Amino acid sequence: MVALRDPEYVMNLARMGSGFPNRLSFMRSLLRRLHRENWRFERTRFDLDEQGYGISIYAAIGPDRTYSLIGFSHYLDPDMRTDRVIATQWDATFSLFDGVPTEEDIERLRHHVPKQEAGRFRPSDLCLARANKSLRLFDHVVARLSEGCQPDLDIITSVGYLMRTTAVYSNGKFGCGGRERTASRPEAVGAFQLEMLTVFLVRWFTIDLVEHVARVRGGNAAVSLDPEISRFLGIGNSTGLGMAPFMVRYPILINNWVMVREEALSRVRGLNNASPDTIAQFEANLIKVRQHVDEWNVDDDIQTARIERLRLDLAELQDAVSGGLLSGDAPWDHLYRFAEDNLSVEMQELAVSMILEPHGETVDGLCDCMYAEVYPKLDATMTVGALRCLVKRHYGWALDIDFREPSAQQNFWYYSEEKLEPRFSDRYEVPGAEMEMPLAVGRDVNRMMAVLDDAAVDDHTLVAEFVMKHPEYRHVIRRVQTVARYPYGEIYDNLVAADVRPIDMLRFKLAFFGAAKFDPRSDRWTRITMYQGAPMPHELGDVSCENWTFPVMPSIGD
Amino acid sequence: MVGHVSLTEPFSLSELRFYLTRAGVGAGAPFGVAEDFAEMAVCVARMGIDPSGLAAAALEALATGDGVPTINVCDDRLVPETGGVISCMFAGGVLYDQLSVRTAPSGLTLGPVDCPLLVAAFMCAMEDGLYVVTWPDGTLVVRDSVPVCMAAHDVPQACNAAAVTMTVRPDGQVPRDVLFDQNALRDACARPSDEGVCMDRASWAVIYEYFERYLVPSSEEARATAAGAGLVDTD
Repeated sequence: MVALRDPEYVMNLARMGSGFPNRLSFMRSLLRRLHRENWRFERTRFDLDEQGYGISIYAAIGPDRTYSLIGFSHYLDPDMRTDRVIATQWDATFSLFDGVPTEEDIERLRHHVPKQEAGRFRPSDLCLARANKSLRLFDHVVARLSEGCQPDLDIITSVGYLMRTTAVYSNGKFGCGGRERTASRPEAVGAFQLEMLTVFLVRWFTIDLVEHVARVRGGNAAVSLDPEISRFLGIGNSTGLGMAPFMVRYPILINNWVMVREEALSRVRGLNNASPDTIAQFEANLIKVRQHVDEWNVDDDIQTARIERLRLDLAELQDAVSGGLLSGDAPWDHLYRFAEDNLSVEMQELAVSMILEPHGETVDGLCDCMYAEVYPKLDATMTVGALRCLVKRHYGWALDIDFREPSAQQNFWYYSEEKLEPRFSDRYEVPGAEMEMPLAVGRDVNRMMAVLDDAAVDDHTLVAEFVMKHPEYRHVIRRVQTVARYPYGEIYDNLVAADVRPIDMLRFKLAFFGAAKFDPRSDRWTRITMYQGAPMPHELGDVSCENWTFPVMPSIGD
Repeated sequence: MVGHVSLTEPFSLSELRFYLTRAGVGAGAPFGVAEDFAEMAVCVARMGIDPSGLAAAALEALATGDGVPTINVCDDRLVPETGGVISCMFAGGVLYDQLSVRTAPSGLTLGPVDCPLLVAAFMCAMEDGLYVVTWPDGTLVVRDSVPVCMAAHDVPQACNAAAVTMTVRPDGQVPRDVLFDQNALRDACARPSDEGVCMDRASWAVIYEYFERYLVPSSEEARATAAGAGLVDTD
């Protein structure tokens, strides 16, 4: 039995920002379900004009119900083309509808979906999304297909998607159906399953759209995308700060995600030996991962340096495996310890993903635990003495920070009046810090302890009494008590420090989604690719829904 | 449209929580108290009642000082520390805490408090037990976090904001004159998750005014740099 990795070890920004997708990721578990339950997929409407503008509808038909993606593609003024929350126009907008829409539903959605946040939606509208083209790749693919040729694989590899989503809203936003509506459905119990389904269907739309435009341009000369290239095209996403508050707001849910991953890792590391088949699987995957990483190129200097180091680490791991690293007892534990002792943090987390990959039978069932229906509550019966102990045990890192130093709370998180866009600014330069989001958990815990000490509050005093006099600490006490029970739900780092990189929080969550090819645009914005390498919906019964992650450039002649 | 939101379609419970938590902060409540306030409103909404009028009244009361945020405990009475009327936004949490710490509570009296129905509905946050909450215009019975019946001479009046004294009796006697039977209340509780909650226009305007206080004004520089991505993406 190998112990789970410590929460403070796992949940610090440096390691969180080195996350990779694994077989427990949400899109992986979704595809396994869709395959297992024989879901059918139909394109029930495709009314696009010669420029590709119009309406399309895709149905996902499961054993109990149908979900329909309704998409509207539009002209987008080049000057209005932005991935930001403040955008007001997009190349395509979508809604995932609960069931089969009537003509009345479609007309209503035609009016509201293109407006996105400015529209109003009904509980039957489960998700709301939008996407913009990767112009260089989209135009290239249209040109090639219209001429009867397949697109250039190097260009495909450098981008990875025809379109990228810039937001996927759900859970009651703008009037959409809340989680209460779907939480009891088997296909929706897991985390973000309907959002992952939405994106899976949007990907399909992007293939259909590019082929349609190519056919219009090329007529009989046009060809469809080679199926391997279609699969190699994922759906991009442009991720900004909007994900960050979620990470802090739902500690129990985050705890459950991470605990599942750590439990899975512990189980596999605890295996006494590895079968020849499993080792062969791992070795084959290692070769594929090395090529995948070789094909992962970004503009960001920090990430480029990490990727270069990762390539060296993978070579070193390859040498170790070839030298018999997996031949003894507890081989997976040996491999993990080798990575921990010798290789970069990014490689260590990649190793976690690779270790889990051949062990579906051991770990896949844990996906059913990656949700939470419990919400944080204040335990007013706790004594202040017990509270102090919890703080010292779980927030010692925060007590060690001198928050009187300006750099210790250099930044603040907030919602802008401009379309509620989440932003991150220097509190000494930008006014508004008095309305900051409550993400400075370490600072607030620190302050609370100072008040407890300054007022010499007796250890036997109940929290009920303290919080009645100091309601400003109700929130942080509730959090401390929650984290004590769900320790993987905290980020053990100062989220307002001068050197914090919000992108580390984003990558952590995106890795759980199943995203790859992280392409930072700044320290608070990244592009990623989802479902790259995955079967298309109509292929789920034929093409393996396993082994598609860490995809590599297909080998196809023109 | 008020505050970018059209009132022709209902609000989801998630939206209620989002807007009311931040409106509570905008009115001057600490974040944790504002979270409880939002949850009170959600509890009322789950009963099939539009909470917006009460929420708006609670926000105004706190912001203007009519609702007192500080509370004292005197035996089995919760009273405003400085006189006046207790803000329901603070009362719900304190009531919850005091009920939690009493091993054999015979009952608590709270008041005067504004918006009694919000406070009463917060008993749905108590996990186990039977709670009978009474105030001059109404009675609410909550069993194991589910409202099981509500008795009121006049439902709209029971929903009014009013400076009243409330009594909470754990394991109290369920009144006979129920307005809703269990099935009807169960259906009413199920309705918001399927249909959302329609809010009163004037009340929503008040709520949004306080919500806007939580938003930080934008500037050209913040617009350009604070989100981390450029303003135009053409690649």
